[in-house]
Amino acid sequence: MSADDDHWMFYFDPNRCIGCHACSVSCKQRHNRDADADDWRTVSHVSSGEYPDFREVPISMSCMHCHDAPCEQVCPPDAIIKREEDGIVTVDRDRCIGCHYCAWACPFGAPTYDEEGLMSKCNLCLGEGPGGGHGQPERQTPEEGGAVPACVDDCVGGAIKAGPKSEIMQEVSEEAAERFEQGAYEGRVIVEPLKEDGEMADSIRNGDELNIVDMAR
Amino acid sequence: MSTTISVLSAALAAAGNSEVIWHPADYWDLSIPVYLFLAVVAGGAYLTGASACLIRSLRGKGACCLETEIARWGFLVAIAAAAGAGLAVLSHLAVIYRAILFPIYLTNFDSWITIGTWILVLLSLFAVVCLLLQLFGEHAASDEGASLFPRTIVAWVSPVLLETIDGLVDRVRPPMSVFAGLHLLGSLFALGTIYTGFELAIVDTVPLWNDPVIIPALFLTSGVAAGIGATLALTMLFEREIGPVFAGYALTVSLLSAVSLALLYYGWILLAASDAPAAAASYATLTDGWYYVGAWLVVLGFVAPMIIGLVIGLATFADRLSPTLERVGGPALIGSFGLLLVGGLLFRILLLLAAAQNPLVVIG
Amino acid sequence: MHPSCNGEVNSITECGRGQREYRGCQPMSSDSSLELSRRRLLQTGAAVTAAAAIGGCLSSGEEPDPATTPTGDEEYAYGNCWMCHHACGQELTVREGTAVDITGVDEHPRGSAGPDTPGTLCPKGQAELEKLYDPDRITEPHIRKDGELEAVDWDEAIEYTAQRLHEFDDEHGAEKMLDATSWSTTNFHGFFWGNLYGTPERIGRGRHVCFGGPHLSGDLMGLGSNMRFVDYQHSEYIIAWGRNIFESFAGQWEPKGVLEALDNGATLVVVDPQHTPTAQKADYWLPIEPRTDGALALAMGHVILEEGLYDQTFVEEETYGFEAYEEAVADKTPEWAEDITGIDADVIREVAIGFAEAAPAAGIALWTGVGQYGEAQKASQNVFALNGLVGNIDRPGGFRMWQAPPLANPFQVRDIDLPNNAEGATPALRTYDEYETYPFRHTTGIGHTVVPEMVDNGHLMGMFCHYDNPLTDGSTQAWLEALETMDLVITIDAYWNELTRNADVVFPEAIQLEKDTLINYAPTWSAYHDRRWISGSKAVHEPLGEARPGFEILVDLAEEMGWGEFVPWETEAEYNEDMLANIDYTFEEVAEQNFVLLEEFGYEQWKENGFPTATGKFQFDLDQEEGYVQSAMELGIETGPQWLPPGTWGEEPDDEYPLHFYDTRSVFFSFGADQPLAQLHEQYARKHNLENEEYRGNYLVLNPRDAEPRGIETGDMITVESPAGSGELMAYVSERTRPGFTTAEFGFGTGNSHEEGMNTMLVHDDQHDPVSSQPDRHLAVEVSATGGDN
Repeated sequence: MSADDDHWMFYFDPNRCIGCHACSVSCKQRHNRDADADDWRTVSHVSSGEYPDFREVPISMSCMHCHDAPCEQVCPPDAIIKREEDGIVTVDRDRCIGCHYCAWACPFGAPTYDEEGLMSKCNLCLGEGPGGGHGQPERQTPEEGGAVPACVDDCVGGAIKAGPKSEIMQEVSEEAAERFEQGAYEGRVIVEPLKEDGEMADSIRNGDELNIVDMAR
Repeated sequence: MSTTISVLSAALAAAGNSEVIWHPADYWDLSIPVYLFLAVVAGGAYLTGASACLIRSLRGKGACCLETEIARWGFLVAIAAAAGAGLAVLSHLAVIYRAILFPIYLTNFDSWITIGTWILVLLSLFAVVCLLLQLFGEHAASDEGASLFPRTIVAWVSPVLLETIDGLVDRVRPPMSVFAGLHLLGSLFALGTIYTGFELAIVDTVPLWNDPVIIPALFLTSGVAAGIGATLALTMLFEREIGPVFAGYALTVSLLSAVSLALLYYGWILLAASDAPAAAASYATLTDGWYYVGAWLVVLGFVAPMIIGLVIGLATFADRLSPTLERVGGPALIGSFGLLLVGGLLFRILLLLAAAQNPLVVIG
Repeated sequence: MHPSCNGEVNSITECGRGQREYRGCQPMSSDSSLELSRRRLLQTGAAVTAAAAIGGCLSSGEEPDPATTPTGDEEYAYGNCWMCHHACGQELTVREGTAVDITGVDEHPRGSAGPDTPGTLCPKGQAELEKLYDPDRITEPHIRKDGELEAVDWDEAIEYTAQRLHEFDDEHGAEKMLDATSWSTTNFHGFFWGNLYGTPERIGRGRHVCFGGPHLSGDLMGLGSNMRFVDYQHSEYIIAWGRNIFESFAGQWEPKGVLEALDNGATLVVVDPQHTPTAQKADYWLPIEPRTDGALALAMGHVILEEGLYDQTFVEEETYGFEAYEEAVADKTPEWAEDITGIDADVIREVAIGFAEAAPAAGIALWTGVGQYGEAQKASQNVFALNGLVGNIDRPGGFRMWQAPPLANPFQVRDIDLPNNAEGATPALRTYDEYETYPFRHTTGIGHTVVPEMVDNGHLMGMFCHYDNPLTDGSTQAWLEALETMDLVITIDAYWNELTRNADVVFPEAIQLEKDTLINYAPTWSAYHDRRWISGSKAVHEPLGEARPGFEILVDLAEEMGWGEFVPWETEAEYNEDMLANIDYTFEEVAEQNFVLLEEFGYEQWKENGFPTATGKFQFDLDQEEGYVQSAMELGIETGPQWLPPGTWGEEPDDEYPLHFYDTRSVFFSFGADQPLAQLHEQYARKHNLENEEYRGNYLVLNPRDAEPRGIETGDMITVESPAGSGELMAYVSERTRPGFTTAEFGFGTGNSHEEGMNTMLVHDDQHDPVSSQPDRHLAVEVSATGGDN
């Protein structure tokens, strides 16, 4: 199962991600969110091995606007909407009860909760601020006059892309497209295979021998 | 805390590396396991009340009997537990009024929270109606028993009010067939509290929960057992003599505990055998430190009522209740039910605290 | 021209050394201007009509799209990022006079990968938006009255400062005033302090505190002092030598260019004792024993010669001193280097051959990593020699010699008969016997670590700091004392810190976004390998509070000093206009587009121009460079490439102080001025997964093998101690760093604007590279748990 052709998707190329967090800051500023609020787009740094056999991979993630939107399915007040017109998953904060059920359902840990206890997350810069995407007209591409998503706009390495699936698919490598068609990441996001640390990517996916000293508190 | 980190960490923690510190996902606080538990306890208590009414009519007894006491305590516990569950879940929500206006706001009937809200609310309504019918009216007015304490409260407020309610209840008291239908429907909602299990079981991202059979079944058996146990324990505080009715319920609790234990064991085996990273993380958590102690307490909470209920139940039916057993039987049963309550709650708390999300890490 | 700009990279005229004939300028080529993104067309198209908008400096966009601009009227403005001062283009969205969003400018020379590529902003560049409205900024002028700093109005502040400057001149003499301007957006200070006030004392950044060794080596060998950059896009083999290009870059064009090269199949080699984001993407990570770069370079040269892979024609025709080089590397086998560097001899051989075979499309990017230790000048000389050996200089994909636009001297443009009041004055370092023990006096006019001594000796009695904080640059404790001793300290800054609090005059400066800025700090290296360019922007709006552009502050001060006839400019924009006298664009036109591309320049410019050295050739041996020869004689070192082991001048760890301690730059901070911004220190904490701690200072990165015996865990507060002093910061235990090698982020703690954390230079005494004067930031320390989590 996969997204409709005109539904927006994210694309991530870990080979081009330099782990700089520009996406996180850009997102925060575009949506006028406090520095200490949970990030809608996070950058994590996963490492393994002992010096000098040390490896590290940066991972930038946000809401992926899943074609099957597990969060939408569990949201009791229908506050989460998977939009038919562009596939963007928005939140109606006037309906949200703050039950956090969506956070459990989300495979990417995307929902965040502010001081009010209401859910907010990436809206692909359809609108601005928490809940800003709700009720907006159909997402337009930058060519049509729509905003470039903040994270894409300031990705120093050009590692993040977003757009209608049909457009994004034209920009990805054959390998990534093939993997996507085969159901990688359950068709929710298109990801380039990691070149230099392919083995590490496999082991992270499989949960094999890994050392995450860096993650330790 | 960054949720992504927790997702990742859970995955990496699965490697079992001793240097790994696992970060539990913390979307829910402890009010949720309390809610999940009390909802089923309410169901179990309702079932106890309704079944007591059924037994009473099967045995052709009048209003003034042990069954009536059990029924009243059962409905009382059901209402209290449902109220407790409701308060617990509301305390966790951000916008409470939207939850209270659930018929307007909770529109997604694919969500187990919506379904569950209706089940819990309707169960509460049935319990209230059943309790009123048992608590007020001519029969109740002439009855005696600790479970009648709400009458005393009403009388204290206003003796006239009590009379009015008694009269009202007698006037609307339905015929036997409707009564049966009422209990049957209420019992369906009581069994419907199995939804609490589905609420967790459908969460794909948490392997610890994501079993559509074991988790709901366990939630039902353990919760219903606790509901029966709580009702029985209250009744026995005032009615110490162990008769066949008590024995029957004790055996039921014993059986439900045994089934729970079996399900728990089966679930544990599955968890241990799972190669999903987050499952391994959960397993690692549950076998470490205080979590491990807690896990054994859960087991004890099932084992104790299973054995004690079995022994006392069988002894009663075989009419071989020794004086000693008769003397310690009541307290032992009450104690084991207490453990059952603790274990049932702890079970859900551990399920929450040991939950690790299966990551979908975008790593290339 | 300022008489003593030695080592100064801030001044435009300095860039002229590698720059020869100017052949007139051309407008931007039609194809690239046609391919401007929609976003830029929007702004430039509507610019004129909107000129009357807020402050006359904004251009308005099209009718806003309801789906994207929820709050209605939107205007755009430009900036040139001054957070790390490498001027990436910034585009701001302004609503009702307030900037609400910031992003990069497409195709910008510094902030994009070149033609048809999007411009972005790194976290620093984005956080300038936060700085624009940061309530913690200094927004009023302050002067010291009765020992206390007091807020006053501008008139009083200027009057007071002028009076103090006159008194200073009378009492001490103008030559005892030090111009310590760093990141001013204007070069006006040089004329002010040199020509008008008349002091020969000038301390800059590149030579003096940033990468003195390579700065000097590059300068003398013929690469120029901006010897950091490769023609990345065309390179097939890039060696990031002690450089972390993906985290610490001089404009985003660098990481973007390297990524492009990698996409094209280039090989990336990273030489670094610590695993970095750059190492993550590398084909080879050489986890080198600290400070042994010189040995690795010589061994690579040995292999290249042995394999006959060097560029014989280039060496014969374009270089000087090759014999000295051959001699220096003759016995430097990879096996010899393996013992010293810890790098496998086979790997050394492989990298040397790979580099030489890819040459000339092979380049070395080197900056502070081989710039901030005691033996760095010689080490960098050894590394740079490889460029001459393989002949990659100013050839596609190799070391690139970028050209600056022909900016004019505004005083000449206006026919101002500017005096040189510093004429005849020599810097104290070269005047007094006390400094004869400093060999670097032959190669530069001052040294950062010697300043406190000069203050003690009464040879320097005042200082002007403009966006400069010497307290972060070394010898911090001695500098703190020197501040007390100095008679007059004038600062232009945005934040309170130990420097501003100890000053006699504090002028609050507008930040770059609040100024009409023409980028005149080395507008050279960029994503356009063959084009000159210039970038500028107008103020987004009025400065915060009473803050003013530094240029205006100096002009007002000049007038008050009685030099009104020499400073006819009212505003920085007018001065900028004069700087563009030789260029066919007005400042207004540049600012409207944010940047313009100027005429092309080709590769192999040395064919026509030769090299800017004593011999006119690339110099392996510096025996023709007079100052260097004297320094070398005093130090007893060779003038040619030579292996100087660590400890020759720098510190080696010992039993008492067994750990290496070095400071690093993360992508979130540049100098000391970004650290106060919440978005940055928050993400920095998140990157270390320490966001749940209240602490928002820097972290000491240390290997578990060093942490465990000391009972240190990530999140513990620890004390770093050297013979010079100690500091406290939070531990971050990681396998990314070499056992025995600890690092901390620069720009935190005492003396900095963000006072949480540790100023790494608190444990620095006066260690320096005696050839270049560069403070040696590579120290020996011991680390211990302070006790308790923070």
